[in-house]
Amino acid sequence: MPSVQQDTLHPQRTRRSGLQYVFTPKHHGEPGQSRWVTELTFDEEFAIFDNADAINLADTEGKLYGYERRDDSLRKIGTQNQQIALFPVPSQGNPWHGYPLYPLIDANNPNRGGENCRPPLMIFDRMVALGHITKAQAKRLKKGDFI
Amino acid sequence: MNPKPALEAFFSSPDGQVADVTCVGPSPFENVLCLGFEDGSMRFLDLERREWSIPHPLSPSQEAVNGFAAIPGKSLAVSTPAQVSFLQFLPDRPIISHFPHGAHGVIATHSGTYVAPLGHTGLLFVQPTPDGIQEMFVAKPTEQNLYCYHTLVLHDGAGNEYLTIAHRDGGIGICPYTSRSIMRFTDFKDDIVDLCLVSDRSLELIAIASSGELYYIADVSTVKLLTATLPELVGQQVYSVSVISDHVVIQTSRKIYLYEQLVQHLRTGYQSGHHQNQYHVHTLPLETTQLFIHDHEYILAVLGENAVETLSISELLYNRTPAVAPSRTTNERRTVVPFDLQRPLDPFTQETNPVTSELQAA
Repeated sequence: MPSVQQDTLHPQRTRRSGLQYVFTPKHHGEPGQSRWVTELTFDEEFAIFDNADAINLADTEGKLYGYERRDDSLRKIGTQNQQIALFPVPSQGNPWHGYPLYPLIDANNPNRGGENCRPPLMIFDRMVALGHITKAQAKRLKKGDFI
Repeated sequence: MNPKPALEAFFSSPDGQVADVTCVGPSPFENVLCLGFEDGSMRFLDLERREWSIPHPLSPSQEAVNGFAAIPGKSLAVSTPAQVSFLQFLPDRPIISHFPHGAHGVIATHSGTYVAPLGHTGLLFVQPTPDGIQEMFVAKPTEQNLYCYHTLVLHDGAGNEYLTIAHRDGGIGICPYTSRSIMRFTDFKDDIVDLCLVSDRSLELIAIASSGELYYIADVSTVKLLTATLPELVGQQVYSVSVISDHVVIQTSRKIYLYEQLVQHLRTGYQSGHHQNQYHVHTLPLETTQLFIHDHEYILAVLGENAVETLSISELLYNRTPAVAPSRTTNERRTVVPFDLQRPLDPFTQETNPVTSELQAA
């Protein structure tokens, strides 16, 4: 997808919850930020969000986690080879947005710090239960590896 | 005592008692391996006594252990996606320190330094000192978007060391170790996911791309490479490459491939300028998360289940019944916990245990 110059709403809402989604300049071209790969279209990015909402792949805070299954694996969706995206809960009245999750934690960089760098373990377990990944793939993702 | 009888047995964690094993690696002690777990803890596995230690929560963040490296008799490094921990065994006590950035693994160099790939942040270098101080240094990439996924330091036995790096989507990085410069050496931008030594005291290197493209470099100081396409790997997701006695072991998302004497073929191809696919390959349908080569004979394979399988290279090469059969029949041969958990081995607190004594003597 080309870089985004200003917040751009997707015309559709999610099938299950009717959530609105916005494409932000920060995660579509801004250096130093977690960015979606340019090969991913707007519709494909929205589909990742829509599917995350459809299966309610959420943590205890309501944050959603999304991915695109491809060839018994997960598609690379981030410029650093990330395969899972995080959709944080927006403030009241605002649309959702998302970005690829960096696999390593950097405690000195607040933008990439803490738990934001990987989904909670329960998310991986749920992906296994859904049959979307195997136990071995889940274990690799937990270690910060690709699948 | 020969450790092999212990390795020939399968071992597994007891259900419901400990976290899932995620990593196997070396320890600073002879005949002792390290096991890393999903909750950031680790255990020592004594191959002679067939026992394992109580779990040690080395990782404060409780992230899954993804790498071990050891300097014999002196120290241990443990990596997770959240930090790299260094455990130095001083004569009177162990000292633990942490670097607050996740890594994709950690290695120990011939000259006694630890190196950990930190993704786009670069490489972490740690030099343990005799007084227990860990000198740490981070080298940043020389160009944007280079991603350090794995690293290896080769030495030629004559005092020359070379730093090599697997860059995701950025090819291979090679430089003299003293420069600690993170760069690409060629224009190709293949997705390199692993590197391996071909033999000790040699500057031969093999690198593998996630697509299965294999790169052989006879001498990293001259930086000329041979590319080999292995047809079996086309369309698969490749995870790692290892060499055992000129045999090449390649781990993919679904299988393990053992290429018989492939290094010899690569050397020949390097001389002639092109690679010919003339080799025997043994295929083992087994989904694994990590492979660790032990004792130049065994592949220790961490599985998706809470278990590690032991595979004998000799058995695989000579077409005996493989140590692991395809699919789930592996359970039939797995022995659950052959190690006595009631008699923990604890090099941290038990002065009388033989592992500690061995370490101090070293």
